[in-house]
Amino acid sequence: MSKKKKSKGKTDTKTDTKTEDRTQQKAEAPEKKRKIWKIFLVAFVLLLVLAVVGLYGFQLTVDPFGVWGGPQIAGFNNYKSVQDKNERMWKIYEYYHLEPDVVFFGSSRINYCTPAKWPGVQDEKVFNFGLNAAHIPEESYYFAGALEAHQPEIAAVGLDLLQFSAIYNNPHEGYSQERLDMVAGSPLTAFFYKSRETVLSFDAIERSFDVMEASEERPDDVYHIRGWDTQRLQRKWKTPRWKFRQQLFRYHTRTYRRYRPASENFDMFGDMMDKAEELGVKVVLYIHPVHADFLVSYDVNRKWKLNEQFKRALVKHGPVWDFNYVNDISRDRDNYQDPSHFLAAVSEKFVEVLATDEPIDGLDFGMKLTRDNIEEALVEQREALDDYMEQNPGIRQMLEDARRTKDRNAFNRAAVRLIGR
Amino acid sequence: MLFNSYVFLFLFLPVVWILFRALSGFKLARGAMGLLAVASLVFYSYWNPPFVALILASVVFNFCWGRWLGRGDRKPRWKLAIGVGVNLASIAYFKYTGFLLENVNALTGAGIEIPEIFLPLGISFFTFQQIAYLVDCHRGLTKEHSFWQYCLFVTFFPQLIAGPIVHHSEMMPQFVGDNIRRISPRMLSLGITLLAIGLFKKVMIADTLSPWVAAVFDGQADPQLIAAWVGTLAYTFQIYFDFSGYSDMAMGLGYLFNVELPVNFASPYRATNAVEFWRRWHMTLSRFLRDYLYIPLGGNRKGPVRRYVNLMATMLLGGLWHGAAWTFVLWGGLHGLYLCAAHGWGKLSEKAGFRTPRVVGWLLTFVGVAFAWVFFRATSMERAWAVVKGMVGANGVEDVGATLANAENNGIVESLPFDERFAVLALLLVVCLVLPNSWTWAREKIERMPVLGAACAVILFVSAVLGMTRISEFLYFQF
Repeated sequence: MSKKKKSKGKTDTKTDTKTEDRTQQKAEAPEKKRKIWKIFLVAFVLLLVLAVVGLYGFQLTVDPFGVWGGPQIAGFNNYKSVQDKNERMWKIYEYYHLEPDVVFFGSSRINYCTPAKWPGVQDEKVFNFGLNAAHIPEESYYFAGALEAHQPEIAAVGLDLLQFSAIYNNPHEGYSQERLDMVAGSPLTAFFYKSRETVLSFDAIERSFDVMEASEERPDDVYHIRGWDTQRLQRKWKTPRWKFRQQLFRYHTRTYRRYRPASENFDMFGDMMDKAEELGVKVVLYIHPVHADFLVSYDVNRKWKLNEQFKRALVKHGPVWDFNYVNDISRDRDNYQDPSHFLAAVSEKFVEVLATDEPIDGLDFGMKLTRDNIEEALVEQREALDDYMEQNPGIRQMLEDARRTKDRNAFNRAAVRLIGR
Repeated sequence: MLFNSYVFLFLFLPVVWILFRALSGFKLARGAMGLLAVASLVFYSYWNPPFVALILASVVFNFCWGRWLGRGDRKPRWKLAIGVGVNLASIAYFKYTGFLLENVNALTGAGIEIPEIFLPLGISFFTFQQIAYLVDCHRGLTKEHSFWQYCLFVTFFPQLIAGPIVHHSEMMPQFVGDNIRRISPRMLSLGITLLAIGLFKKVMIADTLSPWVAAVFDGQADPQLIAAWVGTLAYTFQIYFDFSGYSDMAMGLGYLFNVELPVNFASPYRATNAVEFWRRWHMTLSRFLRDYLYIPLGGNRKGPVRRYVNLMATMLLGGLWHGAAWTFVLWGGLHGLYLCAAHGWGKLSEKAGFRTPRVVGWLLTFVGVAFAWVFFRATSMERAWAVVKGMVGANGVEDVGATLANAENNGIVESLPFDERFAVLALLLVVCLVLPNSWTWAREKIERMPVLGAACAVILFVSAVLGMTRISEFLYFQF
């Protein structure tokens, strides 16, 4: 009996202990779980911070778009090959970062024909904001966005007839008004948006690896210098004049043939000038020099009058340095890569004219058009064109034939003879 | 404002959360609740500020009407009818006017000018929630509550624009002092995890599939056999990962503010029949349709024929709820047929003592659901028909060998249309069938391995954020 009792007693004690254990376990369980969730939260925060710091560290070191101002290490990140197709994204960031005193605005004739230099100004304070194929609507967005973000002392605006064409009006791939607004908004919004596009994106990380690979292959080269594309003019073509002939045919039979100006584009250009005035930025206007063969194409395509109207419209906004007529530079094909893209040496000359506001002694290159002298200058330019056509009857004939027949082979045969292989 | 936007993730959410925590830390539960309501209206107004007036008017009307409906013992049906009618009129005007007039014009040739009416975001969701509230007020199933509680029940930003469709009985009790006040590491952890998973599903999976879908459904050419199936299957996964991802994010956001939202998806593509599918897909909509449409119509209480009629009516209206177009009605109709067939087959096989193999049931259900998505996604009946024709091979079959050879010769990776895509789609199918639900993962797995869970959440979140910005390049061809 007593044994039984004892044993029962034992069982009771066991049961009690078990119940106590369970109660204790139950009481401890939520606390234990709470601890687990706390571990999760601490781990999450630490790992997230680690990931973000790692990402920024990597992206800012490689800096594939060259917008953070980090060092360029030969063989590692010197050759920023990805800048080429993304200029609509990174140029505004680099511009904002550099805060230049002089800025060139314009299309490819700026982007890869015009080094970022201005006599009398430190090179580090000059920036090339050229955007390939930028027409006036798009340029006006960038111009306003850039000037809102930072006001340089001088904005040199290089213009082309085609920028005013009615064919071009939608911004190109890569343009983002939101980006321009954010950069112009405040340093904080600019930082966040720049981070978003150049750090916090798989695409940007991928571009970093591209840059590292390209830099390894070309440890001695750089792609852009303060916005200037140094690579395009170094490109080797099939034959020395191949690109020249190809572009002459293409522009002559398609682009210039279809050209008609859009009045809205002139209005937008007026808005650009108003914006600059409002923000106290001095604007230097000039017209890029295309090769004289293109000027013949204007004439053959019956666009010479439109070219004159274009110039008349520009001078309404102030004096314009016009390099786009038959002159010492535009007559010589050796100054050009193709009829619309001149060599950097040419731009150095016209930049000198722009900076001093005086023509170069002994060189017929540049006429300062004003409201007062425009008609006289246009007559002079027409005479120069007629002289050129008289001296080069084959060119005019070749362009007349191409316009009529659009026969590329016939054009090529004539062009090889007249222009060179 | 979308959950997968920078302004939401890095500005709105942190600011609101910090203010909410500050207020609840100072034991200002009402203030915290008010803050959430105001923040929700700001969230809504970000898209189109004037429509805040509409949602506010709707909230005030339904709150007052609900109170009036709930008063006294006698509850005349006309009061309810007016309340529901006002809500339906509002949604009918904004969502269905154009559709109605288009059809009147098509039938009568009347040539009535179709007005351009902007559809307020989330109107289908907040209208349905409030109709349910009015019905329950009429039934005497609601309790006393403040205007702010009610306002928050309708406008609570995590569920405002894309659901889940919440029920007042599950939401209002959560908007009380103690619940709002406490900081729960569990809730926070669940919130972060679900937000990360949802964001990843939306950005990295659904958005990646989007161009594949668009190529077939928005393209001009009639898709051939393989393209049509790739497009359809891609959409089948896109809509699941998009919608369930958004629901996960909504749940996660709810948890961050100590509010538990109902689960909306439970691995729907594992369903072995249509009935099960609707128990797993957009569960809160199914619940609403069942409680406030199917059952009031008589449900299955009035015999088998009436049951099928009720099912069809419910699904047709459910289809129309999704969008004002015949394609949506047809989609609903197809699902109605699937449900009738599932019920009918269930009865028949039960009588015959026959059991459908699960694999067969799953395959039929999956293909049926995918087929119905064609009508849901297509922008017109003509386009839907073109895709359906493609799926059965009526538009021809691609010469895969030639395409591959051509692509290889030209080095054009983009023109390899199917191999990689099939692999991705197969992987997604495995994910849908094998991996646990987001909320199962968040609730159970992470408790067992918190550090690994945190690492996964960080990877998913960071990947999703990195995937949110795509760089578009400009290829220069000169003027």
